[in-house]
Amino acid sequence: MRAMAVTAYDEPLAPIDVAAPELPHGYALLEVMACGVCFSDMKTARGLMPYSAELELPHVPGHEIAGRVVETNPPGLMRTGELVTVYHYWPCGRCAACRRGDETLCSDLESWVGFTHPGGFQERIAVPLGRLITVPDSVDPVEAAPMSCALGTAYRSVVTRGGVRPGMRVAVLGLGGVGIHAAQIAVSAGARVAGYDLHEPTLERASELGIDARRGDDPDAVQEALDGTGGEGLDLVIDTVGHEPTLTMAERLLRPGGRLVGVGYAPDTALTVPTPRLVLGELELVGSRFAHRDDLENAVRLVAVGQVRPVIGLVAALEDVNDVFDALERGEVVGRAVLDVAGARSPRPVPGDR
Amino acid sequence: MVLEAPERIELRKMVAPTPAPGHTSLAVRTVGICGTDLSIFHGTIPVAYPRIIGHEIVGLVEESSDDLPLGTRVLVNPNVACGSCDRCREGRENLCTQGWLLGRDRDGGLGETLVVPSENVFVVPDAVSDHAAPSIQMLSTCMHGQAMVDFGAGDPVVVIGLGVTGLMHVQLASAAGASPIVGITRSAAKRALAERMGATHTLAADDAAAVTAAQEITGGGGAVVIECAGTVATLAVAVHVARPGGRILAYGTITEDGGPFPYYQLYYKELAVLSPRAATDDDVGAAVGAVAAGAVDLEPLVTDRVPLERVGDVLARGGGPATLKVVVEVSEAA
Repeated sequence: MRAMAVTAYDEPLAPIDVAAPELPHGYALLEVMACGVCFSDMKTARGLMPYSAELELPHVPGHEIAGRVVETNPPGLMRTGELVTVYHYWPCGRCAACRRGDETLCSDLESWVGFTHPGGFQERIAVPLGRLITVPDSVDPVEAAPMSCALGTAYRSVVTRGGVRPGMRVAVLGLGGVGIHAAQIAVSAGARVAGYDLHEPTLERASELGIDARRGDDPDAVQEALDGTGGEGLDLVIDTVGHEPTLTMAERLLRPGGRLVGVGYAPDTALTVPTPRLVLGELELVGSRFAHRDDLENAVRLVAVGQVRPVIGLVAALEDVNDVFDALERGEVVGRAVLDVAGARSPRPVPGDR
Repeated sequence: MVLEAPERIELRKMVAPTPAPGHTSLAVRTVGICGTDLSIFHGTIPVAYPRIIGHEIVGLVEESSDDLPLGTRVLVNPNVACGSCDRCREGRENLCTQGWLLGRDRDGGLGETLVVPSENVFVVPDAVSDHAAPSIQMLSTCMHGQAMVDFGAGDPVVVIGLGVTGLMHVQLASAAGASPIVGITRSAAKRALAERMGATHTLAADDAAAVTAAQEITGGGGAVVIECAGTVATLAVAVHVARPGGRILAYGTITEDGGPFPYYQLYYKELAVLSPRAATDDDVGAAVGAVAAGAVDLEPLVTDRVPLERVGDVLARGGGPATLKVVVEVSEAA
């Protein structure tokens, strides 16, 4: 079975042959159709993650998996060929966080697919039935791949943690894989949304999707946004970047009583907010981690009805994953990059995307 | 037009009221008629007579403590609150224990001049017609309700009863990204209208399979079910089409004393039933914003226009199956 694996942290991913997975009771065997590629896969490949020292090599990365059901154990629990996206956190179900229903905060993950356990850069994978979210057949498997991570994370940040309501004034900082979907979700929820980024092709694509896309480094950006609200400020800011400039911008954009949702982070960045703004302005500072399964289901529904379009800027064959890493590193990819693992599509850029 | 007693309404000459400090005087332009007005007319909701009814009020400013220019077109939040009781202090002035509803507890809009507290006055966006504008008041009560059930984009929503408020709820749910949105009503015409306004599916209320169909379309029931028909029987349908853990917005006002109701299902599915009443000033502002932004189109909801003198006929005969919103023209267009 074909796979692309980390064999050493200073080497590119290499093709290896792996045994077909076993199919334990309560699992479905999937044919991996497509798998998204994000920065965290690159960090895993280069040994830059907190777990890197203990990770057993070779390791198969890839956590944004779209697959088709081959069989289930016991048989017949799902339709053969059913398109699914994999919820890539497999929580223990027994820790205090799991019992509260906070499965993304599980303290003892059974599996973290693609990170600490084998992922989707291979042809087949076995997944517990409860971790599969069905995707309507009308959706292209390549578009279904980034749903679990990019789209689900975006949904939770905007709707569940952000509490977006129709008419709200919202800014999304960073229009990458999470941000470009977060902005679309906020629009679909009836909010007035401005999205900020530095990458011109990304801004163009966001504009085509109906987002009021602006340059985040424009020195007048904050003042213009404030003027647009009669000076009051925004109801909600979604920071998908988590670097010092975006956090500062977020704090300046918020109205008194407004909410900042942090969904992007960097290990060495701290959030600094003047205490008078926090206290006298009653700001709400909220973190948002990945998605719960119901967040993901709702997000999939928004794609199925056409309210949100997955943005896939690059499609490549499984064996070309190292080129995809290079493209990500050069900051060239609009939206998400996806590996067409099953070869259902010829490897080429999606028309209309760059 | 003055209601002298139940079902007796007459045109009378009155002395125009003059505005006290903090108040605004309006030349009333249009007034929408709703179910509450019919109940007051028939005496089901008793009031102190004589009473000028009408609480969906749009007028032009004659004199304002807020320095609004003469002739500014405004909408009135008919819930007048004291501003100092416990509920007002909570920001829930719709539940004010010392307040009143214009057109029920005090005189309302079916007269040429009306004086109201200036904080109850909202400027109407230019794009909204004189006939559609009174319905912003009703929209604000829908928004008040939807804020209580708080659903997100992609959540399945079911709306039962597709009259004026049901169609408003469909539009608001659509604007909030709910999906699917299932509308249930007896009227084929209203089903068609609901589909144009954002319902992804509609079902006939008299179809025995409607409940099963709604559960199938929503993948196990609505996360939120909005009941707009205002009967115990339709509230029971809401219980059946809600998913476990779902929330029911009992929006339609039920005046029945009781009736068969699936109490066990209410418990078994751990459903929350929320009963919104009226709207706060914040909701009225939000409703004005939603209409200005084009999220809700009120124009198709206005089916009948009548001059002030004919309002008695309208109240006496009620609406036919094709009637949605009846609007009374109290004065000529400016």
